[in-house]
Amino acid sequence: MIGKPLHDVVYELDPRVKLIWLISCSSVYFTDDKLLISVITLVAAAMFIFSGAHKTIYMKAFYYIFIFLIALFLLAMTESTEKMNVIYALTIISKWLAISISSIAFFVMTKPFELMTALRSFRVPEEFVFSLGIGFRFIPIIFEAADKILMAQKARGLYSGKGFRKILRLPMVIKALIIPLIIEMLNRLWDMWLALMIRGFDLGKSRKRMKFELSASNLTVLIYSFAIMAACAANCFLT
Amino acid sequence: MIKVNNLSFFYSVAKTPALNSIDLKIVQSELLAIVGPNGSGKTTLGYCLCGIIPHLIKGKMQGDVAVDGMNTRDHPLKDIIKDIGVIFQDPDAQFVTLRVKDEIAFGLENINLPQKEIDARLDSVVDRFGLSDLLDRAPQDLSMGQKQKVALASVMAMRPKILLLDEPASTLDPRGQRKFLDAIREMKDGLTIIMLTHNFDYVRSIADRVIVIHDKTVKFDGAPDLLTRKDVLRLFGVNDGQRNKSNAAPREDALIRIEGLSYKYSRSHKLSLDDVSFAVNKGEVLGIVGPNGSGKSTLLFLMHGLLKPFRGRVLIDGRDVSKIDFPELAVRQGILFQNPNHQIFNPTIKEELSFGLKNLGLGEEEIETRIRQVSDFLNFEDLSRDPHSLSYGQRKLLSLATVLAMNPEVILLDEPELGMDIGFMDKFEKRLLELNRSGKSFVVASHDLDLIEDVSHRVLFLEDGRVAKVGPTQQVMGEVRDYFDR
Repeated sequence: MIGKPLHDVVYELDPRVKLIWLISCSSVYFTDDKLLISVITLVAAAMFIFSGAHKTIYMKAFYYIFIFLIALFLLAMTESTEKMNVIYALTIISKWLAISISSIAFFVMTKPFELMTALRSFRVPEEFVFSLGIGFRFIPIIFEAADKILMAQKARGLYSGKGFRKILRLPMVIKALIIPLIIEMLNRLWDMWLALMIRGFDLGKSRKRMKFELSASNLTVLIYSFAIMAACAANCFLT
Repeated sequence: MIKVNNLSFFYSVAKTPALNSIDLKIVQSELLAIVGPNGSGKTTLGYCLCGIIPHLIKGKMQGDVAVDGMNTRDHPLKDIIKDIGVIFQDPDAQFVTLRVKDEIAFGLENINLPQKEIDARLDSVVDRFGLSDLLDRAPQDLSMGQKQKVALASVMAMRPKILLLDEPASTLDPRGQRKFLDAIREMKDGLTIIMLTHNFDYVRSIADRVIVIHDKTVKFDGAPDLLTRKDVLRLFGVNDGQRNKSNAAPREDALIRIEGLSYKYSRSHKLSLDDVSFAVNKGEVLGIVGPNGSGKSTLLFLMHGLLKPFRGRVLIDGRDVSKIDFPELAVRQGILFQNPNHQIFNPTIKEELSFGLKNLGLGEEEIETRIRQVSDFLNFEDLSRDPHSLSYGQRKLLSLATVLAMNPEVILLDEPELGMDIGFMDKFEKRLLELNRSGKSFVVASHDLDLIEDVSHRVLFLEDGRVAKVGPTQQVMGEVRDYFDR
């Protein structure tokens, strides 16, 4: 661990350790201890920074998180009738901030196949893991097809018309985008199903599980994760 | 190795057969090419040869198919596919995992091989196809050539006795196609290969034997040179010797001017197009060629104002394309996309044709006239037919018709040859030249160097998003062919 760039250390963590860390960060929801919340948020932020996420990813993600947190803050302010309502609202949003940052950091640091192998080793049913994998596989395909369909229809004047006429055309716009997208998806699903069957796929059959390497970095994150889970649980049940 | 005896097949809802009385024998270590026009039944025959029919696609099957002595009707699919590897046209469609390593191991895990054997086979194909640097990458992030290599490696790891390739290299650039064919040639020893293709050049370069399917049955069976016979070409609708190959003499004045155009996709770190400048003259056919990923399609999308440039601009008659509204732009410029399925959504051909015309704000009478004109030009007979029931080639023709109906001055064509048979391309080329003689300009982006050479006045060669060469066809094409032969 010593001498390695932190970026590499974060990426080389075992995906199961990363998953446990994410779960431990989510346990912040059950505590109101400000110090604990701050530690979890700061560590999550550090992990996020060291993950070296691409600017466009976090700018987009934080934009939506920011709007969500503002809404949450306002909601928490109206909910609390005590004098300390600002502190209460800040506590709520810092909990969600910790959960949001750790979730983004987790998905930036963990490739989809790593997540699948991690879930497999936790004995999550193969049907679920495989479906999740196919889902991940399909996301870029859907986006790519949607982009092309949008361009193809735009080139034929889909968005033409002004004012009220444009509003009246909305059902037509939706139809022009949805029908080709559904047909494209069905074609892709059919191709993928054939590809699965022709390679002898049998849903539910267990697949390879990964070996666990207890490196110093994995051990550190694991101890930290269990420690904050224990602290959150203690704080929740003892206060 | 494979014996087909009096095979006929009807899809569940169809009244006419998709295959009719096919007899065929494929011997071990033979490389058989199956060719035929779009919709002739090649893919259905391929499905029958690998057991997809009758196991995964239901219908009425008559006759028998025996693979290595196993009747496909009597044996379960998992027994049949142990001997057969299948590679489809689009490698993206067959990747089912999220990492190259898992993709190669996927089939091996399915046939319950011990882990040691899986690792040994993985190492062997990784060495053979030079994939060691790609093992931890996601298949969808690879280049087209690398994807096709991974698809081939995942199938070859299963050590099949028979390899079925459905249009395996049609999405690759000429160099990628040549490399893919070299890989197939190297694997030929001891392996029976069946290749479904539209490309006569592949067949002539590597096949031992060819069968021609037409009207759902085998019409010709013989050595690859039979594809030069006039009676065979006639089956594809190619009538040699009747053709006026000349295009119109373009004028000197520029219709479209591209100035310092650059573009970057949000997910990418590098520019897809970098400082591209050129002009398209009135009445000109400009060919755009370049390797996969060089930015050809992106350039067409930018030219049509469908993407916003990172830098630079596109001018039509001196006006920035991004500032021209749809009705005006549509009469100036039309674009044909690679995949016709991305635009078809109406229940009839007529409605599909009238969609763009209505958006132009034309009256009913004018719409009727224009639909009649393009239908006559492209030989559409039944306009009340559901466009989704058309063959892929007919759907592509319909897409072209929707563009032509708007009567634009310039038409941008993005890989018009993709998935089309030689007959379609012959007709398409003729129509393009006729339209050019009547004054229309074209920008054609394509991997088909013969098409580009036949129709273009000038050729622009893109490499890594930059203009590497632009000039008259005769001057540039020699260098382009040398580049792809390297």
